[in-house]
Amino acid sequence: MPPSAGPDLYLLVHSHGIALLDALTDWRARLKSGGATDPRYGAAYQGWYAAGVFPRMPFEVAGLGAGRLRRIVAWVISAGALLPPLVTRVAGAPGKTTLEASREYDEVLRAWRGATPVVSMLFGNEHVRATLNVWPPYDFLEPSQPAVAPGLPLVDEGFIDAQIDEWVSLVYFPLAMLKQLAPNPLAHVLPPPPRERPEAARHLEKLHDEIARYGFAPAWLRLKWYRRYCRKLAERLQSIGCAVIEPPAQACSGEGLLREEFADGLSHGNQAYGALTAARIEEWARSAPA
Amino acid sequence: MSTPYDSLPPERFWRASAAAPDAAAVGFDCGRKFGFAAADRFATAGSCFAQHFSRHLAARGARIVAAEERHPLVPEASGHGYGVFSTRSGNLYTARHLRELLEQALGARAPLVECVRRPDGRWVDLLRPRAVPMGFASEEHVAADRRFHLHAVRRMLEEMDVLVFTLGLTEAWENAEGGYCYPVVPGAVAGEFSAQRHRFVNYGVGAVLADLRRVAELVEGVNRRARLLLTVSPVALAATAEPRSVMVSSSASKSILRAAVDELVRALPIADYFPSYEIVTGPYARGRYWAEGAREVTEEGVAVVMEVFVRSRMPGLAQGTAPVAAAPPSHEDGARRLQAFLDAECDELFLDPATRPTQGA
Repeated sequence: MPPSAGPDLYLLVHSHGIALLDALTDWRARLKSGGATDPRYGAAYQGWYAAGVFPRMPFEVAGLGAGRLRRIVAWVISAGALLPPLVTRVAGAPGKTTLEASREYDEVLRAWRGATPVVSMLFGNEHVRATLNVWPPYDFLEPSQPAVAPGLPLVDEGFIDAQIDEWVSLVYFPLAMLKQLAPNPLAHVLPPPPRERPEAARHLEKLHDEIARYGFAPAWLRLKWYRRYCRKLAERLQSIGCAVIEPPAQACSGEGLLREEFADGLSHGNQAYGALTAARIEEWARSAPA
Repeated sequence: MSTPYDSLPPERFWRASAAAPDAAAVGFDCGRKFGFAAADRFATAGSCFAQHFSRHLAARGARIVAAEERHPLVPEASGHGYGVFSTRSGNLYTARHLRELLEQALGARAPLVECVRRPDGRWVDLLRPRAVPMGFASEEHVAADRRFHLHAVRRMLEEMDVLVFTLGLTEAWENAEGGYCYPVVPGAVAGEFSAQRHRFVNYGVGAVLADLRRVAELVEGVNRRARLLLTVSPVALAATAEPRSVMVSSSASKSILRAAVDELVRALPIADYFPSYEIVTGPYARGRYWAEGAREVTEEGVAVVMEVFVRSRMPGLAQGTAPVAAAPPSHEDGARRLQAFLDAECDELFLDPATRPTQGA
């Protein structure tokens, strides 16, 4: 590919994209992100929450490995960038909702319009709050994990979905807007599954107080929330022609949890996880329709 | 000349009883076997009248076993059905239905699952079709929730000190193949009636007594300290499948229930009877506790029943704290409250086409 050609990949990411960027790109060297160290966050997140580490708008980084993704443009939507929501839902005719892109998102999408694949790693941490042991014991039905814990009340899946739909919408609407404004091949990377042993996490991110108070829900329940979230999200994204990239199987235990050696903090993957994810993205980008 | 009656107290004589200033002074419950302590845990089940009993007991501070409770993830105003009885059993009108439920809960019978889809797409458990007004999300949910319900019934039996069961009917419909009974005929609340699959039964004294004996046996088997407090619902039949007047069928049903309970109470030390039926329907009341339609009992009637109960059985419990606003209601408020009160999840209203609510709402 000649150097004058456009980038090989656009990345539209929140925090789950950091492990990928670490594995795939030279972003730390480029941005000199030594940012303030915060013991609440894992190594991948030093500077993540510090204002000004990432540019407000997309920036270009170089691919590190031998893969074909050499020129990458990443838009890391960090808390410090103080960006408005990418998309706002506006009530229209009865029963109709229209989407309005923020000025920044609109600007980016117009610049990105073309054949270069776009990979999203937006949001994906929301299920962590549901997996703290906040509630009295319960279970719910999820077809991908049909076992039901004996002796526990079942919460109607409609109430579970009311929560999950909100989380799904966070990802769905920005990507639906992207599909409206740009013809690029689009994929969303599902977040890593719940960690095998969250109690072993050294970095508790923002949940230190809640964890101390409630502890963690059982692994099977954490996994059930995660699976339902991923299933619902995948269904909606596929309905608008967005590919869905699943977590790498090598990083998951037989039960489906994130193996400890791939975990960073409570809910994120580490650089090794990012490398496996990068391979999956490369594979998808190779086969993505131009 | 003297007779054995000469030394009896006034409540044994009609004239003295009828002259009592109020129901509590009549001595309706003077034949009681046992009273209850404030620490006793009450489990409640039965017909729609039992809902009032449960509500008033709770309002007066009695301890009600709640083996199935609303989970915080379930919104309060979602039609979840929790809090009506100790479990989400819905109305259990017949002794047979209670027996079958306990047999399933205690493993003496395989769990029964029969469900149908409502017009709105939600699913209904035909063995408790109005217990969960919002219905279930799927057939699998019905089955899974039924397993939990049976688990909860067992827990209720283990934890309770008293099971208050109000018998309502002798008429019922059974699944001919499975040999189990429904709380209300299929087709009335949900599902479809089939003359081949569903058969009418009207349990006689012997059958009701046998069912109650089996209930007592099952309860004793799982909880040696538990007692049974039986009442008969004063609420008349809404409809009869017998080829005779509903008034006659109602009298027959209540008589059968009353006779069977009397037999049981005479035979079993753990069983006792509380005369809410007599308090409401007896001549002393002069019909004053009937709501419009002469079938349902007014809130005043329920309050009197509970007053007699508390004075007789739990004198330490709070008095006169029935869950009714003290201020005189406006006509509109009163009508609305009365309607809500009468709409005490009574499946039987579905039998009469004139009072049948729309299905699948």
